[in-house]
Amino acid sequence: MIATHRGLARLGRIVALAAAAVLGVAVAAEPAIRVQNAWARATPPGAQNGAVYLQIANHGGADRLVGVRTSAAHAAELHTSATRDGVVEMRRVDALPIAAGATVELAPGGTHVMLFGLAARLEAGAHVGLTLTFANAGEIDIDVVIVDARGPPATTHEHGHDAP
Amino acid sequence: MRGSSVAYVAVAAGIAILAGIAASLWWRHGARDARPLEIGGYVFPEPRSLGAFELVDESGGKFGPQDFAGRWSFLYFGYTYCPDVCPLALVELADVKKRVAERLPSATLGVYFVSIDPERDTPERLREYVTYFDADFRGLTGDPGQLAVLANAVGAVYFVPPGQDPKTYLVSHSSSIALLEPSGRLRAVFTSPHVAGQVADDFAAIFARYGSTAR
Repeated sequence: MIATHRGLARLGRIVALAAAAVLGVAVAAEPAIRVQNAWARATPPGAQNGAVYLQIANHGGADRLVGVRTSAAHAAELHTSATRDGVVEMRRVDALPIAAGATVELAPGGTHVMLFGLAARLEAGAHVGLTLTFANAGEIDIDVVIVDARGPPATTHEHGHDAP
Repeated sequence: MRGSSVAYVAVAAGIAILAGIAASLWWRHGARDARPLEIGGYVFPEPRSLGAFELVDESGGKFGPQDFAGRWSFLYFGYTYCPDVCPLALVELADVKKRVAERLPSATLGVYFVSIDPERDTPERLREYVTYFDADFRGLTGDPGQLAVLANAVGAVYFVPPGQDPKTYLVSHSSSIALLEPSGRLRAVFTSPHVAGQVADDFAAIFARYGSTAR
């Protein structure tokens, strides 16, 4: 009997834990920070560095993007191309503030994830993984699609050459 | 007699009307020419000579100011380790070249990517890099002192901020596009941001005004 009681108690705890887990998943399904439309420009042959662009939508309280890492390059850093006195300066950004309710865009000619020393050339259509670290939201793994920023005409042109 | 005087009047009226149209065209044309062209950047009323320099092109050959002669040249100063603004500018320039070829088939143009990072950008690396954006794009680099002559002539600025790793350093640089006319002299500078449609429109305006005298 005692053993059965213990068994029931254990079952109760498991059910409680499972319920908590389901609840946890439900909460996690709507994260405060959502990273979307992540892409990297396909790189020319021989190019050592690349750039990743993305949008960070913050549905929660104020947060900060404090780190980036990837296995696709020797190092990844947050950079911003700032124009000062007509000169474009790339500056490292240690922490990017993400205000509550704001969507921050990392776009060409502005803030981007700089990839130093690419492990391999970034080929259009392929994907690379990137991990973003936020001060509050923690780590978020994202999938970055590599895009030929020269646009469809160039691709069509290349296919045209391949055609018999 | 009556018929011929009507004809005289008609001919006189015709001449008067044509003279009026010609005068108005001449006046409007003259008035327009007096104003500087408005573009996304600035146009020099008198083209500026580049001075003397000797650079290296993407195939390792010597390249001097006379090699710009005979066609319009767009020059962008950057380096291949630049992942953001340089590819952005070269994609736009490839688009500009395509648009100009469609709109102004008589305007031959060349696009040059001038590397301000000769330490790392060899001619081979430059060739691989620039031809990715357009098969006809050219690359130039060379001795820092020689590069400075061309850069000064077109108002390009660049420097390596101190305290960086000697292998992965970044270079700060101006992001303007210089336009040389077929005489090989500087005619205009397009300031960033560069949008291909706007640069192509601006070039068309410059070509319309200076295209006949720029050789």
